[in-house]
Amino acid sequence: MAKIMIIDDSLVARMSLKACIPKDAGHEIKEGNDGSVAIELYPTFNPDVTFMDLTMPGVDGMAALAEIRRIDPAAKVIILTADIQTRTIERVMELGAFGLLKKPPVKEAVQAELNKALTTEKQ
Amino acid sequence: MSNPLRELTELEKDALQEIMNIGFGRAAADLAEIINLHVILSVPHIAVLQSDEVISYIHKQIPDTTDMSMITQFFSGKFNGGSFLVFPHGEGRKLLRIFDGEMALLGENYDIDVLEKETLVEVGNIIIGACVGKIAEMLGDVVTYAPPRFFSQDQIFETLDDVLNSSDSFAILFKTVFNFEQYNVSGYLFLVSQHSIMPWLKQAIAEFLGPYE
Repeated sequence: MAKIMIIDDSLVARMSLKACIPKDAGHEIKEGNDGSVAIELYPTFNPDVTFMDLTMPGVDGMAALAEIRRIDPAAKVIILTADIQTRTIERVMELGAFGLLKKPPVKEAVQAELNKALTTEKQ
Repeated sequence: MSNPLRELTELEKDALQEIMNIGFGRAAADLAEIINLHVILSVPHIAVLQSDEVISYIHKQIPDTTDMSMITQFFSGKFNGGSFLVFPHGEGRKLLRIFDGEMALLGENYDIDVLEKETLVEVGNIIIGACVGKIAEMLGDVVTYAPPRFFSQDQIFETLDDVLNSSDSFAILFKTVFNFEQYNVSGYLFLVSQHSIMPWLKQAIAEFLGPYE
């Protein structure tokens, strides 16, 4: 069982991601709709993996990723985004994202990335 | 009294916003690949308006309408309507820098207005095609496009008037603001669809949401 944080301003995006995560694994999931929620929730929830969108009102995913990595340099953040431009991907990886998945989420890709994150030692 | 078929629920609006977000992401990736143009994406907005409110809505979104240019492209399918890509206060002309190298080769032998028009039509065609195409695909539809057309300042609101006054009384409006990062150019994309698509749209959204509920 793992602790998973999901951050996306779209309820539908959060629903579609949760539908890709196996329910029988018993993961504890907390969700939020803004990068500021991610920053606030991270230290208390201490998730094993965070899935986060980039394009959000208020604190966007790029800024939230940077702040989470400042709080916990070993944080495993998987970006789930519609923005799949090469430059965006490069920036996200430079900021220390564990991985990047494109929207809409595909079950096999989400589960593979989640398993990878959960079986990789924190650096 | 409100008619439920006239309105979109919050969940349906959220789903459409997410679909548009994905569509615009696809358009941005296509632009980056074709003309090396990085776009900063923004959160899209959906509204159901009376047709005659659309123009005042656009006016409110773009307070400074001087030196504006617009590319329109109509699309048809079950999802049908018009796309309006608007560059306010001369922003479009900045995009000519994409072709700085080619312009140097042309020397004096080019007309800047023609080049601006051609550049914006090309950029508009890529954005609209990728964005509308992806939205239609995610809603289980395939659309065909009329050729893109360029309009300058004087013709813009006249054109919008003609289009919107000939459509039914309500319009579904999709809006996103985008920024071409290295050129510091902002523009607005409005998709306006006739209200008559609402029954199909609601059904298509329900099918999109089906696996997740």
